[in-house]
Amino acid sequence: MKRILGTAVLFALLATSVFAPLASAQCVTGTGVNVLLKWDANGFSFENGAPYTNYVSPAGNVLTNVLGVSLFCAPLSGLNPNDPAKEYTMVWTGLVSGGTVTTPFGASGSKYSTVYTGGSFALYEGPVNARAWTAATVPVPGSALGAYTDGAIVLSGAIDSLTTTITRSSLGTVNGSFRGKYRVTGGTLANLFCPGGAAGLMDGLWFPVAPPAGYTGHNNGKFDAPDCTTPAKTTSWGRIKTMYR
Amino acid sequence: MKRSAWLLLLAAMTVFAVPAQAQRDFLCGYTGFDYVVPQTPQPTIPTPFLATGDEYRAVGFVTSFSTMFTGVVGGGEHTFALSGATASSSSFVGGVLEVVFDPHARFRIYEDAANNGSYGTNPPNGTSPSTFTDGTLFLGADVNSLVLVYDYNDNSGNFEGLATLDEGSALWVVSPSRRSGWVLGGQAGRPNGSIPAGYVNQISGEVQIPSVVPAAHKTWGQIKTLYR
Repeated sequence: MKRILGTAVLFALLATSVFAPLASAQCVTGTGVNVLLKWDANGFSFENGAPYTNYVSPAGNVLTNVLGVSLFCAPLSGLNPNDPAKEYTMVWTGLVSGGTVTTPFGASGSKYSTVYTGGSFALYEGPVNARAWTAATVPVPGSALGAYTDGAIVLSGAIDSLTTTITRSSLGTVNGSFRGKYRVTGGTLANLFCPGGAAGLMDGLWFPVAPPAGYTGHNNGKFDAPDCTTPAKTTSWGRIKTMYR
Repeated sequence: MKRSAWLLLLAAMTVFAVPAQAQRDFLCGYTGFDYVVPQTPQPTIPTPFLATGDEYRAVGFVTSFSTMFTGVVGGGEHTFALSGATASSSSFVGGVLEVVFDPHARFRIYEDAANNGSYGTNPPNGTSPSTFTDGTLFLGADVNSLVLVYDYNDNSGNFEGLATLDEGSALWVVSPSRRSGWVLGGQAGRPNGSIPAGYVNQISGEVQIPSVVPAAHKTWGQIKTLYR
């Protein structure tokens, strides 16, 4: 009987190995800190408030970003962004602009840095009805949020800070990037993350040239998985013994 | 007879050209890491990054393709390698590094059934770039006007170049008139716990044509009116 049980357990383990989604090579960096999710050229940002012109965000404007996820990695590797029955969309909301600071660099370059604070994000698993994710077909900002926020929230949390950096190079080319920190605090899959809301890095491309009407640009980027490692430090046996006395 | 054939060919070309102009503004997205050969020490720059004459390289994975490649993209992994980008000049003022590169860098995408892409550490090494450049050359491009800007104040930067598609098994998918004008762009970010030792930045980017050219169906009469 024990042997049969053992065989059953072995088969169960084998089944798990076979059916569990394979960790994509795109996810693994070899450092222990891996990509959590990624989106490709289908993120679009817009701002409410004063007009956003020439890459300058007036202080007090509120940034919203909508995107469709194209890659999931552990601990979200059970989600399939190509599942024909589902779609995974994310929104960033409530990011308040601190105003854009413009500084020169190089021979004739200009840099436009904007810090946004106080935002949040939510990842939705919903029915397939909002896959208008290209620059040509994304809904206008007024109706985009509704299209991207249907379904169940599988992950949500805070965006502690977001900095966008747009540069006009000395060659005249314009491009940009973003970098921020997020923390998972909610959603049906929040239990897959370490408790306490460890911060994770979010960064990517922030491209401001010729965006769809009403948008300030499109973005392409990723969330890294939060670093959940427990801090450790070298100590002596004596000190450890002291802790238990 | 000859005239009818030419008209038929012209009509066919028009039918196929319009959707390409209207929608195909995205080629692919990618993620990976960049590095420099050799990493000449730069006393004034916080990282040993891109002295004049250094070669900027990047390797990684293609994470998505344009729908124009549906049915053409095969199984296995799709990797990319950027090479041959030699820094021709640079400036570092106020914590902002700007590097301009010589013409004719090369961006290549490979399709490989081996699924063996591995970064390793301190590239070039036993697996990088070799495991990112094995398999079939899927698409390649000549990259010009490449420039990299990195802001050490914000710990964020980007690179951008103009790519002309000119090689690979999937080149035929892109009509000759659509092979130039692609913008190879990416974010370059550090410090970042996911960067393997010896690489400089984690990069995330895309190849795209920024503006979507509007297109509309017109009659020959309406088109003729444009020229009267």
